[in-house]
Amino acid sequence: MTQPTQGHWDAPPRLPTTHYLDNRIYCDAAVFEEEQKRIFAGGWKLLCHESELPAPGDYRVFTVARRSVVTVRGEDGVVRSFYNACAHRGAELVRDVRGNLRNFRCFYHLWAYDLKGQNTSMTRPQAYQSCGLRNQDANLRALRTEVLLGLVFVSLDDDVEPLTEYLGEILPKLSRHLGSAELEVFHHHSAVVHANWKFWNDNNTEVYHEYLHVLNRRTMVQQPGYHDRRWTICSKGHGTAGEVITNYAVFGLESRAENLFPGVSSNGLIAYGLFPDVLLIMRSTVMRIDTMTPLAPDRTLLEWRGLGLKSDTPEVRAMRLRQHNQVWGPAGRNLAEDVAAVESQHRNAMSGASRYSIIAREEDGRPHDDCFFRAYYQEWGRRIGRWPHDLDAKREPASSSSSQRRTASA
Amino acid sequence: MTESDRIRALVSRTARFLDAAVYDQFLDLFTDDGRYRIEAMSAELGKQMTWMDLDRSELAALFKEYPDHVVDKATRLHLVTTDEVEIADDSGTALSTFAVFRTDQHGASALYAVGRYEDAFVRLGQTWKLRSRKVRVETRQFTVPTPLPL
Repeated sequence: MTQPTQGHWDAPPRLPTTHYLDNRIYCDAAVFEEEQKRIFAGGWKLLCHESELPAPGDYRVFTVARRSVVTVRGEDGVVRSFYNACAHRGAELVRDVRGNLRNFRCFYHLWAYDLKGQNTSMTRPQAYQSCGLRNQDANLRALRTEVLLGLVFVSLDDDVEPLTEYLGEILPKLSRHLGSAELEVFHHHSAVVHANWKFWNDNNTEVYHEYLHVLNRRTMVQQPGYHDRRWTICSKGHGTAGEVITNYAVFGLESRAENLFPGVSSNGLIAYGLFPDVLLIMRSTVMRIDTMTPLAPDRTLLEWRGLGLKSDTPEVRAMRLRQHNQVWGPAGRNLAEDVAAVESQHRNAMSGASRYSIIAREEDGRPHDDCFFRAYYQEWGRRIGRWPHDLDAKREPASSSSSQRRTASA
Repeated sequence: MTESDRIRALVSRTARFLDAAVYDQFLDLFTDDGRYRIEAMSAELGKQMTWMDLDRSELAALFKEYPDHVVDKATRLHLVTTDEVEIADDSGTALSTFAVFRTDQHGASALYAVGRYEDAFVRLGQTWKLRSRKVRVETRQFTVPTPLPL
């Protein structure tokens, strides 16, 4: 048996450069800043489900690329987003994470705005007459916001590509689940993990970490047909491994054959990864949406939502909730295992004890193939202008914005 | 010892048995039809959420499978004060406030969760048993999640 020397351990694996990652991508402060700018500020970020904003005046507050963003449903029913910052001297307009309001009124100096972000009041406005400052010069900073299939997205880049273009071929696949019935969020929880956001996303991206979960090992991986599926890899870093049929009975859990979530089979499980940070996963009767907010290279805010159908009777909703909590949620069986895995990865990447990650599985596109993992990092590298296998290698970032695409085509 | 003291002692034992990871003894504190529930108020949704709702057999199954999972290596310590006890014949209720501290393998301790227990009891012969525990947890971000009861 040959054990690697330190030199071998620190050297790139003898693999195609697409088949391994330089673990500094998880730790490097400059990479983190580039991700904030080019991916989270410059791309589309899923904020929430529109059922979280059911009525005019309902608002939610989020953090996007470290900026506080307030998203509100207007009197006209349109969902809009603004920086949660008064145009006057920058105090936060709203201080609760959710609520309902008729207009925005800054608590500091009482400047006010309507739900379209138009400035309607500056206290003692005559004091601004001499300098010529008018209400329309002091509106809120409106952000590109789109609601598609009930999902609320925002971009801090005015010239970001259209959302439909960004989602591309994954969109009709999502519409099978999100487009036929009105959905409703019934569960939300969050956690801060001490790991880079991409480690968590990797954990969502590859499905062979199901070996980590005793429940998934028994109910899925050991079941017939599990390995018969093939990955569908879409452009822009989105993808799905297709549906697998789960055998809950082997774990002593009830079968999930009734009140199925749209587009999911009896006892079926299907998941979709959306670049950069979203996982939508359905277990027969219930849907989960994962999103991330990178806080620092080594800290990530994770949010999980559980969804049912708005038309659920109390009995059906209770069933969905029970089946959601059997696996998911803060007291679910799998979450603690996922956190243990990614935090241990991050510690070793930070210390240098783990220099490279191998993403070299090739199984003809079957679920344990790393093909989607590799496709994701090709998109990641393209967007931020880095080679994921070598942080030191030079590369120019791509642009997704309309203006720059127009310039390029001209 | 008064009946109220016996109920307070029972609440203390729930905490001690969880801390000692003697889950069969924790289960024995419940009636056969006992129920355990964790609820939290979501500021994000403006709704009450149920995070766990298990009967005694489901709790037993969870404890039985727990060693098969990748589990948190830390220990936990509950601090519980029982603020109110009310007794009517062979039934009783108690309201307690709890804090759970987590101590990692290096010996570093940190606050893990805070909340309240809303307990209902029945007296079976000379022994009080838990018929239901509702945990109203204030903490909604857990540094290390766990499927174990709080």
